[in-house]
Amino acid sequence: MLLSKNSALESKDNEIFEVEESIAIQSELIKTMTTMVNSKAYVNERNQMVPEARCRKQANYHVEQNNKIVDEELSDWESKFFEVDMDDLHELFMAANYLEIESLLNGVTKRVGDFIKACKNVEVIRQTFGINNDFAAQQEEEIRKLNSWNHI
Amino acid sequence: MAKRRKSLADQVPTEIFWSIFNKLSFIDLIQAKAVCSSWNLAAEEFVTKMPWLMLPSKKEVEEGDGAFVNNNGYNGFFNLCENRVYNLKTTPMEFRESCCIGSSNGWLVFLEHKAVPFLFNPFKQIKIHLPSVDYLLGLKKMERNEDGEYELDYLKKNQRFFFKVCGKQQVRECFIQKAILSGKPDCNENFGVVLLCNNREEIAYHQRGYNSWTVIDVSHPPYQDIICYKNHIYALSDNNSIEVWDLGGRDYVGRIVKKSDIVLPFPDKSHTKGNSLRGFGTSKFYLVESCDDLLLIVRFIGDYVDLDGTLLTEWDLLTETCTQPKICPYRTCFFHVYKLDFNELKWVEVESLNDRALFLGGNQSVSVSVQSFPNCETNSIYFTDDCWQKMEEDYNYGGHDMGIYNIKDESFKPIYEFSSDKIQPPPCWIIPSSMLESQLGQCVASLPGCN
Repeated sequence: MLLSKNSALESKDNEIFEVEESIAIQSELIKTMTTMVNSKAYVNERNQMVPEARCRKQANYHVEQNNKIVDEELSDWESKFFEVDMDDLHELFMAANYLEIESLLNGVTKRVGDFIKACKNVEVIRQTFGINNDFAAQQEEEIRKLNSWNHI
Repeated sequence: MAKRRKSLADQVPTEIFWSIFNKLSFIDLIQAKAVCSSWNLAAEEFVTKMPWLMLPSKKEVEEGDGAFVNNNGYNGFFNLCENRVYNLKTTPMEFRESCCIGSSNGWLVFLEHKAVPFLFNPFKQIKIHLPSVDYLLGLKKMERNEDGEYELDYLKKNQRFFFKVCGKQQVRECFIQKAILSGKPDCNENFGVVLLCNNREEIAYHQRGYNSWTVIDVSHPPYQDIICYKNHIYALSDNNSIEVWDLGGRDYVGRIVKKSDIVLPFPDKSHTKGNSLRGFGTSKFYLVESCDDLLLIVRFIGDYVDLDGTLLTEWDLLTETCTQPKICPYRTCFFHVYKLDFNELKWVEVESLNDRALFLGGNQSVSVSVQSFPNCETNSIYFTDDCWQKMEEDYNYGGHDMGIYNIKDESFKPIYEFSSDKIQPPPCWIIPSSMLESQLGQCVASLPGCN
């Protein structure tokens, strides 16, 4: 990839990142803003520095791998990248959603899906995600009745 | 563990849920539904948009004796998105003891002994009883014996009583050929049930809330297919006519109003082909609504089809060298697809379904977008065996004629494989109504007689 213009992105906690423009536009939000403002974009985010760095790292990686997708390397790297606890995953979630970075969002949602699959029962899911059971007793009984499938 | 966690359910927008749940399998979605009420709603969207093929158990089919299949029952559900079979931990006894007479809007219609039909939704586990059809069918007695056969005492053409012992598929052949729904029972909506019955000669209607069946005034029996669309019944007859009734309209004596009655010329291509294959098989016809078009599907089924696809006659099965006749099951050879030209009032050949797929068989004939589920074959017809008259003829086969037909290259692909051809009860599509949502259109308005 040829080196293109760099964009400067400022996060809410006033840290400035220099990012290659081709990477920055992986985020739909930044892409929209740069087309409006041209060379520099000032972006306000709710997120802290850490997720921003991760986002950048992943976008950077994807661009580098663009021409020669080595599937195993990419998926290895991805599994390590997403091997975080629920809180960090939540931060990544919010960042990917706000910045509208599709590939990151896909990775996060897949990881959340894997979490759900790995949970042995409903109670474990609730604990993992910190969710309260808000069903009425009768509703819960009905739903438990429907939860009676096997796969062959 | 003591750390406070922001609940994913509270803070995350619905679109995110969508992308997570989009990747979950059926069994994970069922579990997700039990977590909390917002997950229940989100997962429900996905669970109710999956197409299924209802199947008998592999064990019963492959290990059973072809002569004693009447006691076989449905047992599994093949999920077309995942190519995987699921079953209920406790199989409802109705799957074995009742005769399936239809599948419409995601609900199955069964006929119990004593001539009582009912609706059943296997995913919501809800059963809705319907009024008895004993009078409608002239059935004085309908009992199921311990071999799984039905013992019937019935009045035919108001003349005399007959007694018959037969299997489920003959009940379907003679008594109720197809049952479909108008409306959706799920939403407590006003819905109705339409039956094609009595050797395809009669159409009867039951409206939820009333306790009877109404026989509809028909002009061109017998019928090949019936569908419901926007609260109208469309019936396609053997002589290629289409009649339309408005379920919402009644005349001055309370009868259901007929809106349209057109006899259409038989499409040339199928006419010619049918003639050239006379004696080798039969044609069946289906009527499908697709994106506000009316489609005619011609399905040619060869009576005896060899492994290499050669059409044989009964005489060809007997050879000088073998004492046993050759086993050549009946098989679908091809489909022709036509669209109704509302102005010229004739059928026009359809070269391609583009991004639609059709589901035909014992269910209500439907068309879905290929986007509606992953792995959907484009420009294809998913079909099951609904040849009731042939299904019980031979111990070696029956219920086996199913697969996916590609319209462009006229080729077949299997959908689910059993090692035996005697598959009873025959597999049946379950296509939920949410997969069929289409935009408001002018189909009904286009037909003459409709306003």
